[in-house]
Amino acid sequence: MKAGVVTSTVLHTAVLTWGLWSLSSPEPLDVSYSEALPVEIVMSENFQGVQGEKEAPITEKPAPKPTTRPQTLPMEAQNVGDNETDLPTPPTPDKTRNQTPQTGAPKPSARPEAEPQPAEKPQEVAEVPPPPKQPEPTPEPPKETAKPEAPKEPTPEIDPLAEAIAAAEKEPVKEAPKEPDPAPKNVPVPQLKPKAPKPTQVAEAKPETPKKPADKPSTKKKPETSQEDAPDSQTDFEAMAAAVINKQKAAGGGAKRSTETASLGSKKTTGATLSRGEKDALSEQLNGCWQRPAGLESEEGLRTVVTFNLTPDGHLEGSPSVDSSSGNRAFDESALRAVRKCNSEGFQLPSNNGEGWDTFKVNFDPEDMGNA
Amino acid sequence: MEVVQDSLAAHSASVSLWDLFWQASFIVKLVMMGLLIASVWTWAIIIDKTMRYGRFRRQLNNFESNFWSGQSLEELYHTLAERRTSGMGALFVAAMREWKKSFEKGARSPIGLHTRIEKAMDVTIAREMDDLESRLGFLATVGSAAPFVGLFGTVVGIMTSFQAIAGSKSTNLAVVAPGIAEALLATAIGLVAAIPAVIAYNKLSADAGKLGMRLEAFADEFSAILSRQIDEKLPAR
Repeated sequence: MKAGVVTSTVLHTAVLTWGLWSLSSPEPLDVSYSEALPVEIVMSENFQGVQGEKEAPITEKPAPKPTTRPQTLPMEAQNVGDNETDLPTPPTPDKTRNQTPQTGAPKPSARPEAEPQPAEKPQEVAEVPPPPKQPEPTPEPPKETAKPEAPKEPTPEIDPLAEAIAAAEKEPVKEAPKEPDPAPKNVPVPQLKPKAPKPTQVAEAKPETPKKPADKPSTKKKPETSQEDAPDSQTDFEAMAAAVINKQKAAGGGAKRSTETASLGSKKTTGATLSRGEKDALSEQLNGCWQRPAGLESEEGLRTVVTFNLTPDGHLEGSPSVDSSSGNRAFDESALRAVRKCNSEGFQLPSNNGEGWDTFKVNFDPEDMGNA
Repeated sequence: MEVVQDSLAAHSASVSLWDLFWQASFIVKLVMMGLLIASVWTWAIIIDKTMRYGRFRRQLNNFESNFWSGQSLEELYHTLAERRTSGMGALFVAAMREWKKSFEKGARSPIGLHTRIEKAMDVTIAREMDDLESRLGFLATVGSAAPFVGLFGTVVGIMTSFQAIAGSKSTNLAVVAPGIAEALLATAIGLVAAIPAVIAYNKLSADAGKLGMRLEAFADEFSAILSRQIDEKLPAR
């Protein structure tokens, strides 16, 4: 036995010594520390009431929020345009751009400058009047001559023309002076193009049928007059100021302040909605307020959907209405009474940061009180 | 982050076996020491028994070859009785001694003589088997109890290390790891002690059983021989 003990002790000592040597320093794990990613949990309920423009391109920054108070002028604007107010409609081309009322400018110089394509030719003509080699310049000088005549002609025609044209008469007179002003500044081409052929027609038509040309300018210029009537009628000073600045009201489009086009994102919210748990809480509260009408033989199949709106602080806005009736009037009335009673107690809703609530539709069903 | 790494490195530097043992709490140390001693004793028993069984088997072989060599029983008895013998030799000596005593004093009945010889051999076999199987029970105990003792040490160690975590108010792995490692060391030692103990117990008890069978077989054989001798001699008187 002694031999066994000695051998065992020696063996154990040897093993332990070997263990101390070999297991003394295990290699430390090479742990690479990576930076922690901030993770934010966003519940899907937060996006339920949000709508965006699906077609809009994705930009880095979302479009600024639509203005809530349009009265104060330094407000945010969303649509690109020249308007003061931010209108969502697309900007319409300004037909009256070059017709700002002003006086005192030579007509012939204005026209050729205003019209790039036809204007170059008259300019050439003006520069080199003696050699009228080209066929075009020759007809054009008559245009110029015709144009001054055209406005002049309507004036004599005023007498035969109807009273409705009276407004139109003022404008042609004004149009002629207007043009010189825009001429020095940059003027869009397409607006002037249609005008060029008109006077030619007028010029040609003059001798033959004086009435037709008179009608044409009057009809064509009527819309312009209707637009220009406003600035004219308002105040002379404004008209003058607008003429000096050469600015005109745009018919549509966003505000000038807006520098960004609409982007993918929230354009408007339809009001906050409740999460499932909050819906359950609301329906439970309504169920507590609900006193079923007595004397009903059976409540089976009776189901009323009541619609009501709530103010942001959780009070009834307007009166609740029955969305789909159960067919039993007493039953419907009891559902409406339940909503009013809960309103007097105060609806227990989560804080909504003052945001409006979406319309509530509550199912009044004796078997299953659910919130639609 | 650097602080964490530093503390980790400091801890990982002191995770050697000796440090693990030394950092453990008192109870865990006690458990580990006890398990270590049990392991030493287990291996001592294993070595001792293995050597002893080998010797015993050799003696049986030698005796059997001598016994069946045609040598007279008287001569064999005289050579064996003078020295201490074990195993079959002791069995043979005990039976022959009873035989001689009975014949020298004049046995009356052969059945009584036969019974006495059987009893003497049974007692000798029991003594020999008791000697063979001594301390095998310790192996069985270590094999079954050591894992639990180690587990106890582990549980206590983890308990104390969790208390330390609660005290330090940090769940950093660098704080948790050393305590758990030292606690697990107790289970490891328990298993190291228990596994050889179980294996050795099964092997040694099977060997002891085989040796006991051989002794009993020899006892039966020798009893038959003696019985024949008794029948031959007694009626002759």
